[in-house]
Amino acid sequence: MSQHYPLIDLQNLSISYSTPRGMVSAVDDVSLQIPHGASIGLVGESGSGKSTIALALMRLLPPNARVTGRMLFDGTDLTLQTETQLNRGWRWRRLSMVFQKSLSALSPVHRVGAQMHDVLALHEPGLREAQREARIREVLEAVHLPDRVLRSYPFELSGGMMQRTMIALGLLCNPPFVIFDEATTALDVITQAQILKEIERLKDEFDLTTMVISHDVGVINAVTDIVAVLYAGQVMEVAPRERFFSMPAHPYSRALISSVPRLDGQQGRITGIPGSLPDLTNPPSGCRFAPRCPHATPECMERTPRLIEIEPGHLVRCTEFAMKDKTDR
Amino acid sequence: MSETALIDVQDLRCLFPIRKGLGDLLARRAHNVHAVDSVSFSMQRGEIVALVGESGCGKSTIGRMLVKLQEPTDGAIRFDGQDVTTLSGESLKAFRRRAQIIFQNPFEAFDPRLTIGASLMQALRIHDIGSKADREALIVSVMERSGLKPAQDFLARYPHELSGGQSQRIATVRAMLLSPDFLVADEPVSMLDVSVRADILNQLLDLRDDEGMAIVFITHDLSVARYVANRIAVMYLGMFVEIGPAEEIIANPRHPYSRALLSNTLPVGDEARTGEPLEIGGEVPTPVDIKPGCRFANRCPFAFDRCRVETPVLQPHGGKTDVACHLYD
Amino acid sequence: MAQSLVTEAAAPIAAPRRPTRIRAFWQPFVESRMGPIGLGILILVALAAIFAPVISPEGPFALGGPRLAAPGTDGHILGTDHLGRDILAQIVYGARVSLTIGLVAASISLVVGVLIGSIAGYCGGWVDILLSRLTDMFLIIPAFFLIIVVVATLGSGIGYVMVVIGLTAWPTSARLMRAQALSLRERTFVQALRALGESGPRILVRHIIPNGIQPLIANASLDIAAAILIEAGLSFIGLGDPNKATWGRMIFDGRTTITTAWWASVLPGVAIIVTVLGFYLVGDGISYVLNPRSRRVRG
Repeated sequence: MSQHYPLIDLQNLSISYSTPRGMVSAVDDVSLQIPHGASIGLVGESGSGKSTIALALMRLLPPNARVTGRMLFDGTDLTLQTETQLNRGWRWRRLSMVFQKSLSALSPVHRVGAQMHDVLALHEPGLREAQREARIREVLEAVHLPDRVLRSYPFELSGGMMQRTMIALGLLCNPPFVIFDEATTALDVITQAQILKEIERLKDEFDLTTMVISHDVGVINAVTDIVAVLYAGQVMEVAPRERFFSMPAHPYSRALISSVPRLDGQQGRITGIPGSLPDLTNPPSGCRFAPRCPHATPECMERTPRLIEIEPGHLVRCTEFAMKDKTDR
Repeated sequence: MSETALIDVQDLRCLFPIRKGLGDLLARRAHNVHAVDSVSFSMQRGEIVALVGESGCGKSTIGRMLVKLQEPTDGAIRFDGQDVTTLSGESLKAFRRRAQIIFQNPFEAFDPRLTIGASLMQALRIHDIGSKADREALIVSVMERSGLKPAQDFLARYPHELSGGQSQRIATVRAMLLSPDFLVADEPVSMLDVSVRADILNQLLDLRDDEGMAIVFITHDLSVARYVANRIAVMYLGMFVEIGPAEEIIANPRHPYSRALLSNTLPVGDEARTGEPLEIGGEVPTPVDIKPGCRFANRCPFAFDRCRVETPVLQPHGGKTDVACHLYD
Repeated sequence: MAQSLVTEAAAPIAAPRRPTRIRAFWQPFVESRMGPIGLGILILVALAAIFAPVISPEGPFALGGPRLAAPGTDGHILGTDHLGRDILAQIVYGARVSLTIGLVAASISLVVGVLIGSIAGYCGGWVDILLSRLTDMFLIIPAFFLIIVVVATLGSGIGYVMVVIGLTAWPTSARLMRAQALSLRERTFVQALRALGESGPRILVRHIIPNGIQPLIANASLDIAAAILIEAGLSFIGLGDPNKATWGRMIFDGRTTITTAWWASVLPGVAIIVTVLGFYLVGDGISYVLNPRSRRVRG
């Protein structure tokens, strides 16, 4: 049985990139807890900062990134670990990542088997060759891949097989936490459904805590327990999945859900969200969604509302709810 | 009814030869990729037909053939009764005024070295539309009718200064400047953020309703197809497997592949799932050197002997959609 | 009619001061550090060439000075050669010749290469096959030896040298341009232009070539350097134009006295090295502008 302590605890995480145009505020004061055994979905569009958070957790951000805040993994602050410590004890052994562009994540001139050996050799140097072989076979079986994949080059594999290979790589050192960054975006619908099913199964089989990043609300709906909505680097809403889809609170969440055409028929036309992302080198002082929000008030533009818990497990960052919260007290 | 049809396609085929090696060269063996094979359909003004399928199914190739960006290997395309293959020179240019296309990638839709205004002017200049004074006014009016106000601001910009959504809208404006009767939209929203898609989709719906535009809408997303299309054609490996009214295809898909696509499309939120997802093994092969028989047979859970030897023909089989499947013979 | 459409607020995407194209080139060029150094060198060389009559009013062929005078004697800053001619004068006038040869030869190479390469890449099919084989044929021709043959038969005028260098250097430009054209042809905006009805030649000239030419500019810089070296080599073996003051000829003239009067050969040699270096650095700078843009991290 999994205990529900937070395996991952992000506290006031802020990430900026130093660019010739100025400091780009990619992630702003994000605080998020991921309970052990849960699957959290980060949903957002381009510029939301979701991939940045994932890379930050893996400490894989480029050198021009400035990180403030804490990232606690099982109590240890990852921001304080050195590269050596990260490679020896953390990356791949405690947390790993499955990327989207599989073809560019693997070296095209080496066979898959060799690359998997390399990864194991780096992160678990104590293993002997035979043990590595055994472990590799194990993960291949877990993702239902045939042995011949080991002898293949990445370009010889189909999209679905590539993605399974990436997942196998992610599980190679049995980490308790895996990040899936748009892992099924490049796949066709049928293969995507297959892979998502695999992910569900692997979650149970390996007792994984996962973070699923996607711009596709359908994917989030399929494999997550908790949904966190990000917009322009800020967390706008966090809720259990069913509650999120049945009663989304934040105007952005509601607009996002209603901008997706439904298979069971639409009542009238879908509407998008007017305007575009704020300039992140000069972000608005208040709520970052306010310039595009149909319910925005002057107060929204001035002060960023806090993340309020409106129901157990359901948090919203919105002036509308902040007001209610004040009047309730 | 094909007298009133704007587009009439008969037995369209497009094969791409691939040269494999010296052995083939000596033995005079030619290998072909059957990108599009024996496709026939017709459409009227004021109608949107969606071509739905996974990547490699030939839908984009059909789109390109319909606007003469790709020459068919075989078959006939008639536009307003006229055979399109014989066009050249002035008649080809006249055809291009009437048949336009918008592409998937909005970020590459314009020459990066020209301002938007210059690119739009060019479209008018190619076809000698209006006098110089008229042209600017025409551009401004079409831009503003499409909701791009103030037009002058956009016209002064370079392509890299636009967001994906803005760029795609302006790409549509460019096509509309020629007042075409027919538009091919090749995955126009696949690369756009979800909240921006509605505008483009609604713009296409308006073109159909207000201007009687005939649109071929190419997509891999059934939900989007349902939203915009009057009719949906499901494609697999270069052939139509089913075609019919959009609601009918979604509510009662008959071809096993249509059923698989539909049931594996992820629902959003509290949408009812359309039954248990039909599981299809294997991956989409490349259509090289196709032999007779149903192309879906090796993956189809309902395949029987006849499927492997006799190619099924697209027919109503007593239902509301045309389907190419021996299950319905 | 368009009630369902939402008016899109034109949010500013670029920074308030939109960088002009010149600035977009200049900033990374400066960053490359090699580029500006090379450019500085070339500006000096160009100024020397332009102001040659001011620097050395007597001209490069003025006889009457002391023979093989060491640098510093008698007002000859860089000394004199075996005929008493001022070395500095010959160097600055020689700069004119070298730069002219380099620029003309590289221009021929660029124009021919861009035309043939872009047509081959854009048209494809048998046009491509024909033009590519033509390119290959010219690629095989060794420039130096062809020039020797031409000079031996037609004489050693500078004009011949420039044209021959240009006509043997274009294949590299053509290949580069062809590759650019091949990839540009598939870009969405080119497809869109075809669909709009724009004619092939106009697409080629107004869209393919301007968008594809940048790496060829970097290559042109190297072509200029190569042309200068070839001319120097020709002159050194005695096949250069005897009526022109070229750096190569200066080295040729001074080769017998290299141990006693080193300045007659070494100084023009230094001029060649510095000038060629200048072009290489500029070429590197341009390449840097084109390449690491994608390597540099964006926020």
